[in-house]
Parts: sequence; structure tokens; C-alpha cells
Amino acid sequence: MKQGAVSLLTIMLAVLPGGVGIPSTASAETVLKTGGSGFGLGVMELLAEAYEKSHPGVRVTIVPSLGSSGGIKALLNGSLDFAVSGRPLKEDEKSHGGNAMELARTPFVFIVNGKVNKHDITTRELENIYSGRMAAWPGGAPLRLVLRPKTETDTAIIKGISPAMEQAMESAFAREGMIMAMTDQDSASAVDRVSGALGSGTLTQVLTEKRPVRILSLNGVRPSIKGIRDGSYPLAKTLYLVTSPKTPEAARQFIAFIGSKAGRQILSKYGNLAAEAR
Amino acid sequence: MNDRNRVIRITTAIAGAVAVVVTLLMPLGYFLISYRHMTGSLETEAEINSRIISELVNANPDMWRYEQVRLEELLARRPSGGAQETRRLLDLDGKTVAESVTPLTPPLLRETRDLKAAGVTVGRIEISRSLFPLLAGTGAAALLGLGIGLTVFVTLRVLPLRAVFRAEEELCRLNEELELKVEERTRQLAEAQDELVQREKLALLGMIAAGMGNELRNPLGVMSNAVYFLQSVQPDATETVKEYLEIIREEIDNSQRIISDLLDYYRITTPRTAVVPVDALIGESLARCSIPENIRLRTETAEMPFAVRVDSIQMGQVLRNLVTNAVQAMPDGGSLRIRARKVQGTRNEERGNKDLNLEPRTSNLEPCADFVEISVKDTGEGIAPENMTKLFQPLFTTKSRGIGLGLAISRKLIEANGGRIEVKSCLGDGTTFTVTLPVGG
Ligand SMILES: Nc1ncnc2c1ncn2[C@@H]1O[C@H](COP(=O)(O)OP(=O)(O)O)[C@@H](O)[C@H]1O
Ligand SMILES: [Mg+2]
Repeated sequence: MKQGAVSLLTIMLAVLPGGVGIPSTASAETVLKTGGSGFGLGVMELLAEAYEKSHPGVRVTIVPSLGSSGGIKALLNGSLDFAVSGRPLKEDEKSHGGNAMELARTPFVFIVNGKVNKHDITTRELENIYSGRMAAWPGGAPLRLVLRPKTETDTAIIKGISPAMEQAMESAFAREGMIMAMTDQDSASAVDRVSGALGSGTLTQVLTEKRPVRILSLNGVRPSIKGIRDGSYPLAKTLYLVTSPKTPEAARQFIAFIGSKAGRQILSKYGNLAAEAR
Repeated sequence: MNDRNRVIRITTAIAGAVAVVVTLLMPLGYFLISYRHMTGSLETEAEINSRIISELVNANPDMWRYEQVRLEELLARRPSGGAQETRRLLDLDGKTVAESVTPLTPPLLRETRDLKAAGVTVGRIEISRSLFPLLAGTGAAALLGLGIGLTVFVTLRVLPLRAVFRAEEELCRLNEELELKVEERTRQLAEAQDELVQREKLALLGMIAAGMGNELRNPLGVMSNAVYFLQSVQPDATETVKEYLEIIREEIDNSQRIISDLLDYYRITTPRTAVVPVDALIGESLARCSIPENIRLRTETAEMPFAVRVDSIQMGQVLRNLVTNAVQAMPDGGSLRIRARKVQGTRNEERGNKDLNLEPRTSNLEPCADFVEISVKDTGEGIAPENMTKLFQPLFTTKSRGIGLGLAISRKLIEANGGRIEVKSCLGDGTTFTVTLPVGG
């Protein structure tokens, strides 16, 4: 609460025209380094841009997707100032000083290549597609499935849709000719590139990266912020920010900005349901 | 008697030499071929994996080491049916960054590739496989070679001698009148002997071919994965590169088809017959052939549908072979007619085709038994008279890219299904293959 107020003040001062007021911390440029789970990097980029505009002395560098585990590891090794994660911390990550806070939730969506003539998908169809019983779109065009690694959150979410889905996913991993996308970005660009492709992603990633893929509604429900708030859309991914005792004060200020009204506006503009104010 | 000893000596020497060669050739050939393919596929595997991993490394040259979970998932991906491998990523200090371990029996074969980020080596990938299966296979091949060598020796050494001795004894016992008969007998024996040796040779060839075929499948699989990978990671490649990748992919497909033909020929299984409607059989086979537009296709089946008792998968393969040959015989277009009709078993004898009839007994016992005749007729280049007798021999082909197993497999399959195949051709006018099958239902 106190932090939020401080950062709001900072923004207001900085927004005033022509540098009226107290000169901001005009020492040498402060560089903040962050990275981690791919789906949150797009919105992080936008948040960074807004923050840099109001804090000329600060630059935020976002390294390409390392995955949640990779990001947290890099943070705890001191290579990042804070990390972006798609999952809560594991025990050993906590015991090494990691501290995660929930930032937002975004609808987890199924996406298809722009040329696929499909706007809605049902659980039954997904089960048939992942199990291999359905290998072509209605109309006969071949269907190419884009999978994520077994250890990824996305895979766990899809498996959790139904018991049949869990089995279907196992059989998808056992089949040959599947496209395996290592990062969230790879996944979206595979769907964008391969005709007939079906894959998964998040609303925020598709919006921030301006991907020309089609987001499918699930069992007739369009993925939206409202849908995950009222529970009518069932699938969501949670975005966490992870800090360590070594996270510098400048980074904590940026994080406070993310939690501020301006930050939350950017989050929700790009498909995220911001977490309740801390 | 001196002559007799010389015959024995010469026969023994020849039989011994052939047997030794066979015994040594089997394990040696097996080892050399397998080893070359193994090192080849290991190199490819290392190359592909180093490239995939390098891509990840390049995305984050100073932080890739933190991506252990991802790297291990990448390392764990293998083509199904591929060899057992242990894969390991090491940094410059030789420390393991990520690994995917399979327990391997020594001795090991290892292949290493450097990982580069922006031209600078940042680590290396190491892939190991066990040589043990190959050595065990070589041992098995040696045993097999020994068995075959002994068989060859016995066959070559004993049977001809026995035939000669028997003929000699007969000659001694029988008078001039019987001489002709004895000669006839000897000729038959020699023929039987020839056939036996021929069959032995074919069986050996078959085993080597099937073994090589199987060995080639792995590297081909790896190549096809590699091409697929290249096609999918390079959506922006130039048209020429795409075209060449497509050519490679087609050639790999071609090789895979040739190998499965080869394996098919040596692995024909006993048919699982069922009653199949003829028009469905023809329809399904045609659906799986691609017939170019410049060929007119006509199918004629009777109004009253009838059925045959055959293995539909095997007969489907036969019909596809015949249609493919017909299409290949008409490169500039023409017309293709497929006709099915019922005939009486006795008709063939009336027409005087008794020698072609493979089931004279059936026909004699049941002179009115019905058969179904399916004919595939093309207006293609026809077959030269001197080739008519060779068509069904394995490996006979007149095509630069043919393998010459299609008709050989077809005839084996048809005979296994209780039918027969005949051919009529007029050079320049076209060819008709007629398959006669037992009626069903
Ligand atoms: N319909 C046909 N017209 C002309 N020649 C044919 C026909 N079918 C088969 N042949 C001849 O028989 C040979 C052997 O055929 P096949 O066993 O199918 O092997 P392949 O097609 O690989 O050459 C062919 O190479 C060709 O010379
Ligand atoms: Mg052929």
C-alpha cells in the first residue's frame, strides 16, 4: 500500500511537462534485468516501456524466454534482478531465498493457424485431436498438432481438462510427426507458420506479440478476462513475479509500478486479470 | 574308379570353398555394414542435436545454462525405434549442464560436437551408443553363417555325388533299353539339385537384403526427420532450397518404398482369407493409386455383385502393383481398363491353357467350380516377346528406377491365395494382366 503510493507520486512527478519539480535520481543509468516464462514477457516489455518513459534513468532489459525454471534459477544465481514465472515456487527455490507474488491471471487459449476455418472447439474434439483419432479438419485439410514439453505448465493444464484428455496427451507424446515447441514464442510462431496447426497459448501473449493466429472459443465460451473472473471460461495461467534478497531497490520500485493503477491498466488492456491489490 | 575319386575331390573342394566363403562373409558383411550405418547415423544424430541445441544457446548466449529443464527435455526427444543413446551437454570446463541418460552396455561409441553461440564455442554435446547389440548381431550372423555354410557344403558335396553314384549304379544294373530312362532320371535329379542350390542362394541373398533393408530404415528415418526439421525451421528459405529439400524428401520416400518392397518379398505371410466383394476390392485399390490425368480409367464389374475369397490386403497390393505398372507403361497417356467377371473353372481347359492352370486337380474334381477373373488392361508400350518369360522373376526390371519385385511379389501373393496370374501383350499395343481368384460366398 505504502509502496503503491510512492510509485504513484513518482509517476505524477515525472509526467509533469518539462522536468518541473525535483530532478529524478539522475545518477548513471540504472539497468534492470529480468526474464523467465515466455508468455509474460510481452506484457513485461510494455510495462517496462511505460516505466522507462516516466523514469528516464532506468532501463529494463528483458532476456529471451528462459522458461519459469530457467528464470528462477538465473535469479537465484544473481544473473537476473527479478524473474517472471508461470508457476509458484518449489520448496528448494523458496529455501534459496526466492519469493513469489501473484501478478495476474490470463486465459489459457487454444489457437489455430489463420487459414484454419474453425472458431470454436469442444472438449470432445480436443480429446479426439490429441489422441490422434481426428487427424484432419472438417473438410479434409490435414491437422498439425503443436505440443509443448512434458514439464511445461501448458501440458499440465491441457491434461487437467479431463481424464480422457490426460490419456490423449500421453498418446500424442508417443506419436511421431508432432511439432514440439520449446518456448511459448516457438509455439505461437509454429501455429502461425504451419498450415493446419493447432496449439495452445495465452490471451496476453497473443495480444502483446500481435500474433496473426486465431483464438478459439472453448465449448462455445470466448476466452476473456471477464470469463476467468466469473469462472465461465475454465482455463487460465497465472503470472508470478519472483524476487530474491538480492533484488535491488530499483527493481522493487518497478515492481511497485506494476502493481499501481497504471501498471494494472496495462495488464488488463493486454488480456490479464490483475491480482487483487497487495 | 579313378574318375570317381577325382569327381569326389573336385566336388569336395568346390563345396568346401563355397561353404568357407559363406561362413566368413555373413558375420563380416553384417559387421561392416552395420558399423558403417551406426557411425553414420550417430554422426547425423549428433549434428542434428548440436544444431537444435545451438539454436537455444544462441537465443540466450550468457544464460542458456539455466535452461536445464528445457535442455533435458530436448535431449530426451528421440525418433521412435531409434538406437538407445546417452546424451550429455557439457560446458567449457567439462561440467555437465544437462543430460538424458540411458543405461548402456560397454563398449561405447561416442560422437562429440561443439556448441557455438555467435561463432564462439561455449560447450559441447556428447552422444554415446552401445556397440554391444552390433557385436551380438555379428555373433548371431556368425552362427547363422556357420549353419548356412554347413548346409551349403552338405548340399553341394553330398547331393550331386549321390545323384551321380545313383546314376552310375543304375547304369550298371540296367540294360541298354533302360539307359534312356536313367538319363531322364539323372536330368531330373540335376534339375532338382539346381533348384535347391538356387533356392539356397536366394534365401541367403534374401536374408542379407532383408538385414540391410532393416539397417537402412534407421538412417533413412533419421534423414527424413532431419529434412522435416529443416523444412520446419526454415520457412523463409529460398525457393531453390525448398525445392531441393522437397527433392531429398521424395528420394527418401522412394528409398523407403523400395526397402519395404524388398522386405515384403521375403516376408510374405500366410493369407487371412475372407469373402470380399470384388467391386470394393477394386475400388479401394484404385483409391490408393494416383492415376495421372492423361490416362482414361474405365472399370467394368458385373451388375450382380459377386465376391472372392482372398486376403484383401494382399490382393489390394497386387492390384496396386498391376495398376502402377500399367500407369508407368503409358507415360504419354492412354487408357486403363479394369474388368471383373465370373468364369467357369473348366473354361481354361477348353481354351487349351492347361499348362498355365495351376490348379488342374481342383478343376478336375470340380469341373464347374466358379472363378473370378480380374483383368488390368493398358494401351501402353507392351512387353517384348523375349521378356515375357522373365516378368515374374525377382529383380527383373526394364525401368531405370524399377526394382523388379512388383510382379514377383504379386505372383507369390496370388498363388498363396489359391489363384494364378497370366499376361498377354502385344509390343506397341498394350498389355493385359489377368488374375484368376477363387470365388467367395
Ligand atoms: N503393364 C505393363 N506394360 C509393359 N511392361 C510391363 C507392364 N507390367 C510389367 N512390365 C514389365 O515387367 C517388368 C517387371 O515389373 P515389376 O515386377 O513390377 O518391376 P518394376 O515395375 O519395378 O520394374 C517391368 O520392368 C516392365 O518391363
Ligand atoms: Mg512395378
